[in-house]
Amino acid sequence: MNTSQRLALLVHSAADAIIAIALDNNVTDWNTAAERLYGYTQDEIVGQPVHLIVPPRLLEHFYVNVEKVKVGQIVLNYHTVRVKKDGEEIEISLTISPIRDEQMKLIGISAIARNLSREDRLLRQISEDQTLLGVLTESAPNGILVVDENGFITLCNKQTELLFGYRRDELVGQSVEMLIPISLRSKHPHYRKTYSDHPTERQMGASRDLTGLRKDGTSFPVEVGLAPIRLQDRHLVTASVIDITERKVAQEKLQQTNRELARRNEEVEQFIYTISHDLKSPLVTIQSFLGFLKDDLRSGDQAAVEDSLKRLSAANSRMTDLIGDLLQLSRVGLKKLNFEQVNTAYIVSELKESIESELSKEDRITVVNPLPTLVCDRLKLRQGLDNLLRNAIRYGKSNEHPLHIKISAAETDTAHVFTVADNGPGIDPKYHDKIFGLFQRLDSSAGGTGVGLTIVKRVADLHHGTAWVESSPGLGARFSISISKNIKLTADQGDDNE
Amino acid sequence: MNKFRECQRKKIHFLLVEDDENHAEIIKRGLDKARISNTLDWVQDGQMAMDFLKKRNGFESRSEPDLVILDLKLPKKNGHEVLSEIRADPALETIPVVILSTSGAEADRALSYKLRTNSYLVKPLDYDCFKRLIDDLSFYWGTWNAPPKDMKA
Repeated sequence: MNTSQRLALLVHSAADAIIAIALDNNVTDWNTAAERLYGYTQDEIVGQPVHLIVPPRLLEHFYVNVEKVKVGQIVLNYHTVRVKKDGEEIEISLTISPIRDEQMKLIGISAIARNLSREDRLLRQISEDQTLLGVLTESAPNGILVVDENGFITLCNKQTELLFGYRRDELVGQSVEMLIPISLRSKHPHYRKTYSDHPTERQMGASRDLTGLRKDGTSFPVEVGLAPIRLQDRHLVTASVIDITERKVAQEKLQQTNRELARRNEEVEQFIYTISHDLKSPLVTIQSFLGFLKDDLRSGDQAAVEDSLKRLSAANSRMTDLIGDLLQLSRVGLKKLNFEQVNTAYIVSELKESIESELSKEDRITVVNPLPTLVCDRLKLRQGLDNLLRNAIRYGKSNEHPLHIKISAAETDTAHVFTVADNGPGIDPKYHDKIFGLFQRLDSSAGGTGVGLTIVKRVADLHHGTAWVESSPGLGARFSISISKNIKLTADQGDDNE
Repeated sequence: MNKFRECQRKKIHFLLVEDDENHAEIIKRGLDKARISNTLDWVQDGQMAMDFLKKRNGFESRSEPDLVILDLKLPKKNGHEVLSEIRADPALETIPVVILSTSGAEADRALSYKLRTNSYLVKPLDYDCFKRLIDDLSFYWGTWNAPPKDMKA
């Protein structure tokens, strides 16, 4: 047997399907394995166009490959689909190479094909699944960790690295407890055991606040979802970690708003109750003294008539004062705030001028300069200072010496503080909080309504500040109101318009 | 009025705690015309009421009141504070206290009773009602009410 005979036998009995086509793409050779693989006998196919075994949808692709080979390339282990004589499609691995004669001239193309086995297909599926899973895991917005039965991290994704600040190689193989704050670490193995005894898909620590620990030592609130993975001989757990810092912040803000609303509501209730009580008081007087007046008129007691009339008129003006002050108070809360640059020296000098006319000759008001320019609501600050001055005039008078009121301003790190000091009888410290309450007066004879300091306090609240008094009996009183330096200019408003 | 002549009457001593001068005047006038003879001491805030009851700060020589008529809205110390201080003091705890307030609010009434007021009365708007209330109040406490003998400190 010469070489070419041996080669012919080799091709003929090879396990792989070996075919050859001429340059016109017609089949020239077709071995026994090809007969088995494609279902065509050698006699049937030789001389026929090779595209009989190519699915029409792949024809274009097929010719591209053929052209590549014709210019000298080899297509190796190329996975594709062919169609058998009976129409069934088969997956094959194909190697295509050029056939040349002794002068290296291209005379045809050979194609060696092998049917892909079930294992081959499974392996390919697995590799594809792995790629898919990898992409899914990596692109997940959550940190994903797989932890084995001993608490060691076996796998984690990109987001886990970002969340905790560790590189993957610093995490894999380490105990998952490294991601838990030290103070909570000791309990975790116990929780892990409880979980592996009753593994279900669930939220970790549903009723607890969970915390994660970053590489840099900082911690952050997390939510963790757990799911068991049961393999043949291993029990793994996958943990999906979400950073809930922002959610917590939002929650807290909401709760704060709720508390604020509840407080406001309580304030309104208290307000309505107080109003109903204090407005009723002059009405009781009016009704009763109208009764007395009738009796007095009947009995002709002129002095008593005049007394009743005087009381009726006083009760009437008290009612008017109360309603006026209440309107003023409600306006403090109702009108939209307008924060702007305000020169307070200007406000104070205006107030001083308007109030001095109500003072007796020997009384005086001193302004201690400088007074600041700051961001506040001009009208409201003016209202607050106005009430402080009127409060000083009403309650700061003493029988011993003329009234002297001093207005000054000071600055702390966080606030501007305005102080109105008087040289009056002073106030016992145990009443210092009480006097800022609505309708609270320490001296019913001084004629106020008990609204003024409530207005002052509200003005302070609106400027994130406070209102307070420093005083002792006999030593005068210093009323102060603070205006936070953190107040921002109201947005839709022009620049400094002082 | 005559048919009550056989009732045994006592002279009754009131302590009126009331910051509103007009309301105090209404109550005083009502008591003057009441069916029973009485004396009245009047203080204008809660702090003075406690000074009076504890015989201090100028009230050392006052006589014991048979009944305290107590307003709720008072300067310095409100009616509820006064009431709870009275009830917390072994020397004062049995003294009858009647709240007489403009407030008809449930919270005020409930707290007053919790603090062991003997009665809670709302100041009537109507003149005749107010007169009648004061008359009934003095007659009830001065005639029908029978306090224990050792009530006074």
